[in-house]
Amino acid sequence: MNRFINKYSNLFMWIAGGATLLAILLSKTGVFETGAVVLYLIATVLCGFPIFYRGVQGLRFKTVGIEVLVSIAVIGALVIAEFSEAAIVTFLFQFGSYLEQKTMRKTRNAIKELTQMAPATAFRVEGDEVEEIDADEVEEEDILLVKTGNQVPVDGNLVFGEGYVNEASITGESVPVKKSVGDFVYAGTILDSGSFRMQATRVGEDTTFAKIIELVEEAQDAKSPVERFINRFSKYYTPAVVVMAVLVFIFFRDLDTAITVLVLACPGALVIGAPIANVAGIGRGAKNGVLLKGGDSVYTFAKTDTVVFDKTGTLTKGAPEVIEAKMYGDVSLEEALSEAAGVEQTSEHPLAKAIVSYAKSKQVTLLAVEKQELLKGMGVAARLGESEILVGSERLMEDREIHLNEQQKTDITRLQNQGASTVLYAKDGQIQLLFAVADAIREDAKESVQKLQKMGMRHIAMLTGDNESTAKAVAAQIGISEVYAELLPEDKLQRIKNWQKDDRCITFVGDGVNDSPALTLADTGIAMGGGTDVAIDSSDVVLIQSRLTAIVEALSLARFTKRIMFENIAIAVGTVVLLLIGLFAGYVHMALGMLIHEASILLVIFNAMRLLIGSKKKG
Amino acid sequence: MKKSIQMEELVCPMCAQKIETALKKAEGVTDAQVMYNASKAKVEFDENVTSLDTLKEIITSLGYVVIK
Repeated sequence: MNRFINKYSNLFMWIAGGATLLAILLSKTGVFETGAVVLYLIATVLCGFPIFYRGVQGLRFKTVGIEVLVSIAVIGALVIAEFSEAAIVTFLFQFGSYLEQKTMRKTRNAIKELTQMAPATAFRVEGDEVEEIDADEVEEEDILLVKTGNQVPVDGNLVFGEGYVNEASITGESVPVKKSVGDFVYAGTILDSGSFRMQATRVGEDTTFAKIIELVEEAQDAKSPVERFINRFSKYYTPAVVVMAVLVFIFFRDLDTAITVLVLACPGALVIGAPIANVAGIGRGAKNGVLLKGGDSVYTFAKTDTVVFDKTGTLTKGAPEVIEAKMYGDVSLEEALSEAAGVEQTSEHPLAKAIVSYAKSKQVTLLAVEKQELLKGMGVAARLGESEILVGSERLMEDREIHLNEQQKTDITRLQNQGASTVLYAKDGQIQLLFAVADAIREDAKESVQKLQKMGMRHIAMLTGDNESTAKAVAAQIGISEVYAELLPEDKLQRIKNWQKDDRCITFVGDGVNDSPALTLADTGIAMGGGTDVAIDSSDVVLIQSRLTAIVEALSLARFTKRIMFENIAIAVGTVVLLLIGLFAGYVHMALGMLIHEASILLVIFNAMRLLIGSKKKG
Repeated sequence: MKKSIQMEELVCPMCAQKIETALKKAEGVTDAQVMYNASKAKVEFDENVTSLDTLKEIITSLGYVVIK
């Protein structure tokens, strides 16, 4: 039955439309009055039946839908022999639903486009043979071949070859990224040039791509408080309209006005207005690598007045690197660096790692050293041929009776005040190199904070477990004045709780690894960490790219979506109020009422579409 | 076992509710969720009791078209 109606209701609608038009022409001639009535009746039945059917279906689920209102109105119209009204109203209602579906499909399309980007096939390598298989059949640890123009079928790491990958489907960033052996590639991204072999690490519904789609699909259905209110409201509103119509009939003895009330008071635009704004807003975000986890998140995030950042891994990159290497005396940087990094490569210390990767970035070959000794908390000592080599702290140098000159001492103080840690390199009692290692601030940190301030954030604060002077140095460079340093995780929670007591709406931005309690406690939690599982699970707003400016974009989008939602509610309520005033003033009859009503539905859909087209407000 | 079923576009929220109720009532199904905007059903079921095909059949018999 349902399938029958779904299949033919559009056809019926067009026939009914034709019949109604013909009937109007016939009745104008005044000759074939009966013929016109018959045509009107045919049209009413063709269009009215699906409406009636849906109305009854709804009643079985204990909801009085809009279809019920229209059905009663149409039956009423037939009773008082208003055949033309009945035909026009049913036709307009069906035609309206038809347009509604067409336009709704457009707004839902943002996510459809994403789904269609899902990879279909993969080339599995087994021995010397390459076999084309369904992307769903790929198993973990399979070796896959990806050629230029192909889509990466699953998540995995490169094991051979290299290429430039367009990651737009995941990050929204369309500049191809270079990938070489060991690098991670996402399912759904496209190999722009080159060719490589990869080993699958996550397949099927576990890939980042599949997770994003799942998240967006669920988000579009997750309702905001406003929507829940409207749903509750319309549950009582529609039956109330029926009661109102009955009262009008009893008091005024006017069936015509009573059934017109039924049509005019339909909450069509109201029911659709808020959800469509969310569907469009969430879809738009998904395209740009900003995932809003449902109407609730949009609503709360838009209200944010306080943004709290964690320092390490959020405002900073979380990986210490060499920010300065200073030479003393007459040595070649390359030689000294190759020796220093050669010694450091056996150490697991974060500072040592920073020096090794700095040397590698300078394309220096690391020297292999023999006989080395790890001196806990101070550094490393080693022998290189006849020379003695030391890499480590000031204390290590003093321990070995190597004395720092004035220049070196001032350099060290200066760098430490910038929030950096220092490492010295000495060969045969001579200090040759000074490394300053610091956790670099993200390039877009300052810009993001400035933009958030412009957007009217009342408070922007930084919380960190780090020491006071480093924290202050970092905050000053970014432009954050509220700094709370040397905090234990529970202190961070306490701070957030205190702010919430002052009625602030808090957005907490963390790295998602050790901040989960704070992320959960804050009104909105945002984990920087790209598409990692932790980040996706613990955030209310997921940023696919680890980019701070994405927060600004997400906030603009959430605010824009919320605004559209309220505009739509205003349009819907306004229309009903105006129509009812018009009715009692005697200007509006049933058919015109239905026309305006359907127009208001289309208006709210078009309004929501503004979210898809985007605007300068995007940020 | 958790599987998702893609249907042809759902036209009314009521349809989603109807399918969800039917799936939840089906034998062997522990949880079912129909996402209206995505026109997708997510079902968790015991594969010893029922099968994906049986569940798809339930949706079809309600008058909705299963795509995948």
